[in-house]
Amino acid sequence: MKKLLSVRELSTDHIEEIFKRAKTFKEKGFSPKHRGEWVLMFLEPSTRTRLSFEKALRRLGIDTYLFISESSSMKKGETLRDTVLTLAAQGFEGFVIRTPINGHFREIEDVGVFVVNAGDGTNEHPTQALIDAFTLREVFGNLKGLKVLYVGDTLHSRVFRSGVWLFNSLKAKVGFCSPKVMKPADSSLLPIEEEFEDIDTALRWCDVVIFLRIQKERQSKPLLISERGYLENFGLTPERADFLRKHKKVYMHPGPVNRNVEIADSEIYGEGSLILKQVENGVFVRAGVVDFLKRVK
Amino acid sequence: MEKLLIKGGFVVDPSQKLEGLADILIEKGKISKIERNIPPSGDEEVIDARSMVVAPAFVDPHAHLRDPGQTYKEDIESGSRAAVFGGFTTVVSMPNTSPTTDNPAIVEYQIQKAQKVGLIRLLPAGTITVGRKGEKLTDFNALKKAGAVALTDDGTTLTDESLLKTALYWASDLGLLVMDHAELPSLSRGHLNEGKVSSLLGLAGRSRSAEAIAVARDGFLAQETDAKIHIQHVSAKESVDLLSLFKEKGVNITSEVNPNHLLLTEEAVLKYGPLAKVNPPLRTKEDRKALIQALAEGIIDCIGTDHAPHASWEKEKPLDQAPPGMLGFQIALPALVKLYNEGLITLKRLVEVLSTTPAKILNLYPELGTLKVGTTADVVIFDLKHEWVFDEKINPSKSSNSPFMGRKLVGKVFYTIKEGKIVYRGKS
Repeated sequence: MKKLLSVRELSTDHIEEIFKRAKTFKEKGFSPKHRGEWVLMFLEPSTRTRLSFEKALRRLGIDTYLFISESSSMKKGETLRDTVLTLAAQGFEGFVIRTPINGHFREIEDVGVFVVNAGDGTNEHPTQALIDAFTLREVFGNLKGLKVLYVGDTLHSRVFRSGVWLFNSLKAKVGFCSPKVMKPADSSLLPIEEEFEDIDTALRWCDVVIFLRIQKERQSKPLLISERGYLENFGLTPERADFLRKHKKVYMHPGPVNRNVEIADSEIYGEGSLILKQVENGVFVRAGVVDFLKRVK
Repeated sequence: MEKLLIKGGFVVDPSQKLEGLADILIEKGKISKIERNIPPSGDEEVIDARSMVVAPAFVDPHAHLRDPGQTYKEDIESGSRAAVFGGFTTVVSMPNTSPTTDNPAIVEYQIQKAQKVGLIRLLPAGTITVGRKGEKLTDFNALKKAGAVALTDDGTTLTDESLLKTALYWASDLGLLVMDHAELPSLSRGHLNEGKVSSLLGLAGRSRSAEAIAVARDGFLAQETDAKIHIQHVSAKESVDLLSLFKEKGVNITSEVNPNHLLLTEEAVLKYGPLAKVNPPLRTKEDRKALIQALAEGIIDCIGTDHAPHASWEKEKPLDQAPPGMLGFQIALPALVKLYNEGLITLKRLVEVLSTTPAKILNLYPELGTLKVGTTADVVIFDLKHEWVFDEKINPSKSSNSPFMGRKLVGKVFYTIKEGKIVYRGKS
């Protein structure tokens, strides 16, 4: 296996392999046992994903080179395929790619390099899903039967579109609650257990909530008409956070948080929040993915 | 007065299939008893309702009270008086005020002022878009919290369907009703129905397709989003056909008709000039017939008076410059009594379209729009046969822009009761 493009390509054994590696890195530290040169190709803005991949690769002993679209020949119209073939010919063996285009990787499916999807449009973000599941494993152990609730812009969320499949593979149950305007038109082809109109009903159902970022940049027209109204009707208010704490439920957010929209200021790092844990685990899980790809044939 | 006894009236309450002689006792603002004969106990005011109809007070989903900003036409006080004169205790005010009702402060102002006047339950509609410009959605959540019950850009419609769809989704999440003045601006740049009268006068008309296309669009969007949409002042028979189709398919679509459209046709423009100018315009005999039939059959759900006061000097302008709109509160009951007298609607349906159904559409039922024991005592008492002249002396509005000004009308409200208090008493 040279590419991680979709969580749907991962068997449960694969997932366990990745988690085992991530756990080892986290507990025992890294030893720079790999070599090689990878390109971090970010055709969209990123902070935590890019830096955690960069750190993960370097700790594994891999040299990283940054590629951003603004200063690249892709701006001149070069295709992803031609770009990757060119860079591969220069000796780069692996690519971490974030792109605004859903399914952009089809262009390079048959190119014999390592590729990790770091988010493709509104399609998938496999490593974020792995991080979220890994983080929940630390809290809950086995995820079987765990009720995972996504709240927010499920229509545009690639985190959601990876997470539902991964949690499904791990036998967790997925529900979601979205404003109608940010909800998929028909979710029947996704492995979803429950769909909620009312967030408080949804919070009663779940064990863990993953608040999703409102993807303003992906909405062809701004869909959010009231930040205050969103927080009141779909966000984590202090009252809802208290409810979660009272019932020993936890919450996450893939970041970056729109403060006082998805989550009230006071609750972002409050008790029950796993947000910084997710970020911390980012490096280990991404290192686990790269280690897994480079070792597993 | 804590207690009110309405004696000897013919009670019509479709919500409990009541149609017959009965007395009604009101205590502490609630209906406390309905029985064939309730003897007075001496400590209540007794209303002699013999030969009159007693019904749940009327609910108007569509009125322009012009407050704030155009209070020379009407204000919340004069508008409240005109409403109760017509038997209405609950009124949804349109947001095309000046400035527009696109923010919570104006909604709060309107509600507070109406409470101070104390005659009606004013339920403001807020605009869908900021400044009614059709570009940016207003803060629905804030409008709702301030007390708005519906959203509309009345006077015009959104021309960006994706924005309308977004609005329907948010409104649906918040339980707000979207009301649409379904008339595409690009096809309705004129001043009266596009037809024989506009041709005769050489004036630009407003086409029937302007309305039909908008109704079709609204219906499909309501179907797709599962949101509720209410079509304001239906005027064309094509719209009736479409509404019938959508209703058959179970789409959440409701509609209203302006009583003026039930009485008048485009020829009225020749007789009354700008007084007969209204948007959407008065149309043909066939349209009028279709509207009446649709109202009788339930394809059109209710009456919306589209009470739209304008000053005399404004209506004295030439037809293409005068503002559109006519008074509505005062002529709503007479319009329906006329249909009743012609055998076109039943008395039960008359009460339904003025009270029960609009209360349901606005989510006020079963507290309003009914005379059930224990509910809020909003009651109207009217005489089906009473003839009266609609003149300046009797008219409570600040404006008198109605083709019926100076004309004899049949059907008159004698008592309007809100929460057990008499807010209007008519003189015979």
